[in-house]
Amino acid sequence: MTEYLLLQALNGLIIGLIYALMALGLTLIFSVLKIVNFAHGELYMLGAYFSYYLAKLFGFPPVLAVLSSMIIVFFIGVVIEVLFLRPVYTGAVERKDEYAILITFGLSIFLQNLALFVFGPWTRRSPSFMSGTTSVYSLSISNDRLFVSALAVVFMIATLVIIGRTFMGKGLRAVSQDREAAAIAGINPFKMNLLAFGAGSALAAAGGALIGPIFLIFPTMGAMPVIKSFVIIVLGGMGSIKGCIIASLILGEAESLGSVLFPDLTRGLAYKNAIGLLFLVVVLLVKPTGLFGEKHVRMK
Amino acid sequence: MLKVTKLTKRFGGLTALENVSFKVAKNEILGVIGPNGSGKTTLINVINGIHKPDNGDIFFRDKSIGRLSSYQIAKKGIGRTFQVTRIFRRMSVMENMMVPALSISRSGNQEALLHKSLGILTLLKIVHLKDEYGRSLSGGQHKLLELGRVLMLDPDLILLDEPFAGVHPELKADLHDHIRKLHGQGKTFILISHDMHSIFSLSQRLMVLSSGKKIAHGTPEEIKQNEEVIEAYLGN
Repeated sequence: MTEYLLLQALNGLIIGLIYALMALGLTLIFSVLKIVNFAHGELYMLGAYFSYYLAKLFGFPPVLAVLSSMIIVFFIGVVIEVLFLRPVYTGAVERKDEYAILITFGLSIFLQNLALFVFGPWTRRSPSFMSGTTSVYSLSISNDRLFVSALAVVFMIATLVIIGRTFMGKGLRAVSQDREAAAIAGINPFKMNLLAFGAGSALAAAGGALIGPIFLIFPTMGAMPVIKSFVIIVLGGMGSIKGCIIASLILGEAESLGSVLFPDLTRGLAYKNAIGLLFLVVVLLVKPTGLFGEKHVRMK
Repeated sequence: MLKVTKLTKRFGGLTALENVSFKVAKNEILGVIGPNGSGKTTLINVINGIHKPDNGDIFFRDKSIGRLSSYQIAKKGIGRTFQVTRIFRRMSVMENMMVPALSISRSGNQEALLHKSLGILTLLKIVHLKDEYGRSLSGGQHKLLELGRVLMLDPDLILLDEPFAGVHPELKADLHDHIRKLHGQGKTFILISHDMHSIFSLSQRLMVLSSGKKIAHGTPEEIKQNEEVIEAYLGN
């Protein structure tokens, strides 16, 4: 039983890292643009499909396919920001919050159906990053999962370094804290919006592309992860990067261990998604701003 | 250096500024005074692009800036501080100072920018706070940090909105010194303040606003004697 629990804990960690990538993208977008991107799951799905096709049709090595799909989805994010979200910031839209919800929700439905039309309803699986399994003591885990975890950590560290150490990152953080004051300091907030949405989209794509060899790829594959990303960013505290990463890992572990520790083991897996939501409810009852959140994060 | 012509700004039915025209010469300190709600802060907000004028225009070094965005105006050399300071509370003092770096240097000469920011912090006597988070500073230190952030852009024209409000007298004297020193280095200022002693002692010229209209301008001595100004402040 102990070995099984350890294995589940390891699986929880891996899933948590993938959640973290996706939720990090959502947090980045929310922090800078102050909108909740309901189409984030579809950017995750596009990342998975692009990576799959680049590897299958064009023979890209799997890691290169992941990186290329991130770049493609970055530019798709840029186009979405310019075409659909820019009006929120140019004063062309009166009810900004409502517009942002409706436009991203509409995009989500459109992209899901477009994927169904273009890629078909069939499930697919990306080529493996690294075949075989690795055994540590009596634990055996697939190399793919280990490799995916390592890549997820690399992407996360790269994101944190860019946000924390570069001029660009300081610009993004400044806009996220006070858009007007950042503009007074010479920062172009429109450019920061573009970067944040592009980078957030690329992170979602990374999550989808990395999960490709482990789970299945299909047009609605982003529906559940996006809900979990919402749970994570609320749990961690809206706009908090630290909270987002910690909440991702907590959710991954809560789901993974919760399903095997559930009193009725035959139903444990079925309640997996509910465990995360239950955890969120409990945290919000105790700390309404989430684990690391601050009050009053509103669009101006 | 700055020319404002027939500037009008309305918010719904309220006219915050009405046909306001004035000029600011290079290396001048222009003080703007007026009762609460007279349009002083709106004037600064329009000059630096937070609000767009409904009528009239603003020329900086003979070029129209009335339709530009705040970040474009900042890059042209106009900096400002706020009445209620707007520092980045979840960033350190040093990080606050480095925010304008993105617009200063594309190549990212970090060493030179660090040196510049340390120099400014030393001048403002807050270099010892460089690693502190913005949220942990006092109100007066916020004012100094905001001024420091403005100086990172090396602006030719600095708009100061109530820089002395809520500031300890010792720090106020420091701020006077900083403004005089920067003026001595060739900077131009538009200064808004309710602190009559400060604004009369620092400004070379004063402009008085009342209900969005310019009611007087002149030297501090002329303004002190102006009956319309006395009436606007004290009523009948």
